[in-house]
Amino acid sequence: MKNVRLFYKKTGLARFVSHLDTMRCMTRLLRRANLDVWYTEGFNPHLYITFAMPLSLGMTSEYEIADIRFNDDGATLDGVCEKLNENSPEGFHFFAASEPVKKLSELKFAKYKAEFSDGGALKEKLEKFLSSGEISIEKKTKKGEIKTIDVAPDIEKFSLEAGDETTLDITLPAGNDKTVKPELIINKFLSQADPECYYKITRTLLLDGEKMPLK
Amino acid sequence: MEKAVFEKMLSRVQKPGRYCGGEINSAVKDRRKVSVRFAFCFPDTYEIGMSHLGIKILYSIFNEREDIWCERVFAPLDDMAKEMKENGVPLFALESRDSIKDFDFIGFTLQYELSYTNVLYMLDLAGVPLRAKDRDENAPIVVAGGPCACNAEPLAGFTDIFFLGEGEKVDLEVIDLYKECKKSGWNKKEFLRKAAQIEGVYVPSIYDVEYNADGTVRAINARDGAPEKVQKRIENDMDKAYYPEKFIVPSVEIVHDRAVEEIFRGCIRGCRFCQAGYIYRPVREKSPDVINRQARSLIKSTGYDEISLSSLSTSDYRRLEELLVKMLSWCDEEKVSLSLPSLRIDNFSEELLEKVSSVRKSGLTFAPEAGTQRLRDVINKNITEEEIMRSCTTAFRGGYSSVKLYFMMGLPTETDEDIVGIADLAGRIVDLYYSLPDRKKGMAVSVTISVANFVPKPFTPFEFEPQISREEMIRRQALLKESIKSRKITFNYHENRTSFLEGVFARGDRRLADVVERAYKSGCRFDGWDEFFNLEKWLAAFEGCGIDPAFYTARTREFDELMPWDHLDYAISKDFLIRENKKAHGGKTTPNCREKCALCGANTFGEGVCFEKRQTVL
Repeated sequence: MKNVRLFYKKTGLARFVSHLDTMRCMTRLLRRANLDVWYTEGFNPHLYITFAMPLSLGMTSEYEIADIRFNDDGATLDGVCEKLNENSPEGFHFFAASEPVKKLSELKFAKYKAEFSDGGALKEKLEKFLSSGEISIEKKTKKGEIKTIDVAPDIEKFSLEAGDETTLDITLPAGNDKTVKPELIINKFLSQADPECYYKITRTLLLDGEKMPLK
Repeated sequence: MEKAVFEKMLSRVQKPGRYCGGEINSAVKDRRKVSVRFAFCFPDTYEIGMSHLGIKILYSIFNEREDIWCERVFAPLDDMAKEMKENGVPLFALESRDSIKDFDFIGFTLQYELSYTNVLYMLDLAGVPLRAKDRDENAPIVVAGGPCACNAEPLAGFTDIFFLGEGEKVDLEVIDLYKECKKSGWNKKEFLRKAAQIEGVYVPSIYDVEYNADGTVRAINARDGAPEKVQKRIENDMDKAYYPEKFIVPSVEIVHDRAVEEIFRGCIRGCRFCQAGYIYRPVREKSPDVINRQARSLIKSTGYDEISLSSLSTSDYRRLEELLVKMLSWCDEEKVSLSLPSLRIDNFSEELLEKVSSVRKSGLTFAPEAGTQRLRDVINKNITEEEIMRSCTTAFRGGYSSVKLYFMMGLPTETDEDIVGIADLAGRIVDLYYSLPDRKKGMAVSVTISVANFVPKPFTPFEFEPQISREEMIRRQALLKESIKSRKITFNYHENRTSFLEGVFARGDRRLADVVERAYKSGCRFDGWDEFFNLEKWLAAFEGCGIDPAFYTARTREFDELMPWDHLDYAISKDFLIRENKKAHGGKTTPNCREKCALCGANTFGEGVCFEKRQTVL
């Protein structure tokens, strides 16, 4: 058995395929590609696949990770991406397949890019909002209670650019220990600044504890 | 449509994936290189429409031709429709996102009567005039097919062409005629007149209907040389019939998310309430080798890990054992689960059960349809309680502990005794489970009874029968509910309001067009969905048009009454239907097609079960 890490992008309209649907898509895509993948050995064997981090509906991504296993220890990874891409629905593109370097639990941060259709008008307000030292967000807990949390200390890094539209790059905690969703921060900001403003988020990287791309 | 606008719209709606297209195996062509654009519309949501087998077959058939581009269109839900209106986006096809208003054909598949308002809804969203007479020379040709086309008279005013029977060949013949007519100076009337000469094509605008004073039909007259009776089309040789090697694999979950392999068409049984059992005659089987090959190629091209064998009654497939052995030889290895829906109780064998469950254990469903033997004889559901019990014993010993039973309510001659009989039968199945010493231990039995309301349909022996009123449906449902004594029994039943409307349209005539339009304009759509169905609006529409719905549902029709669909020929003779109706009232059953020919008329096609050697001869 060989562990294999697949890296892929989810772009264009594929951002409207939910995480649950993405899992189904991947299973079928792996079956179509006719790779010698490992199935679980339970009563109902199913294709083994684990994702690093669910991607919210509506987000595109430049850097997604799914781990699978090949039955054969010595299986080559050459040509795996090509086979997968030939069998992919629109918007799914595999760019690397390799043996995992770190465990998926080493995922600590994710980097996002948000683009606002604002004509560049929101940049200053957004800069002020993000640097204000306190960003309280209402979050639903698993029990269904609404809890207010301050996410300002969680913002690892951000930068802003304004042209035809304002672009925000932001690094936030992601993984088993803690995850902060960028859309919560943005929605909070827009609810005060410009509730009608349309924006789009891309997850650009998944990072380990050293803030290096998770490999 | 601008991509940015589209994405913005999608970001605001529920389950946007269903409007995206781009699925694997979908057909993307160069719009400049095709000569006919066909919008295949399913008048319901993506999740439902994509589960339908017919759309997959016809989509592939059309797109195998280089000159045709067939695309899919589904009914958007309210939130999406609102976005489309606000952004000035008319109804578009999934593949190209082009507006279907500019297509050559807009085709609807009519699977159930309650989708009729959605046909109008989709035409309206597309910006196409609803009534055929209001559409100009350059408007798309609106066509429709599917089971409801056997009496889609309520939609006659909105439709240019109906396809009767199976569409594989007739659809292409009409498209070819269209191309020819386009080349030689287009005249829509002339095209329709010529199309009406093709077998299986019904052009409603060239048939005039006259009515009697009492509201019944007096005469249906064909004009312009159109045939007096339009005969349905069928595929003669199922082994040679087209079947797609690829299915589109949806990227978002649909209702029946699996590969489907059709094993035969038609049904030998002749259950008297079942329209499908008559309009798809005669039974024509595919051979096991063909099925096996097609199934394997589907699994390969889709990546599905589940395949279901499709037919009206799977266990009536003569070579089922042979087929299962063939299929299971690779299904196991490739981790494909095989499901067999529509199994009948009477010929359900232990070996068969073992074979299916060696892959994956799915639930067991049986359809006794009526609670007493007397009523089962009336409806010609030729199974006995003894057989039901024997099958359940087999299933329980095989490790099953849950059984689903399907029944109907409101059947002709039904009494309270028959209703209570449903509860009693379910109760005896519960008792049976606990009486078996070798049942699976530690599991509680669960018996689910689902009760649908009987709706009399055209081309069945019950087309003459009245439908019970909504009040009576409610009373009988309540009676059944209080007759159920065990907590192991779950009782599900259908909405009486929708069954009532289905009853009106199933045997409706052209005058109902006004009602459909009025109801649509007052906001009715997605009528098959309980959460959208609005009876008050429908009743107001009937009243506003001066039409009494009871005329269509509550009346007993005389044997000599001219039905609104009597000019449509599904190779089921009226004499046969009358004979069967009389036998029903006499409690007499009719043997199935393999036992003895009942002379229904379907042998006119020269194919299928009508020409098999009978079991009695063998």
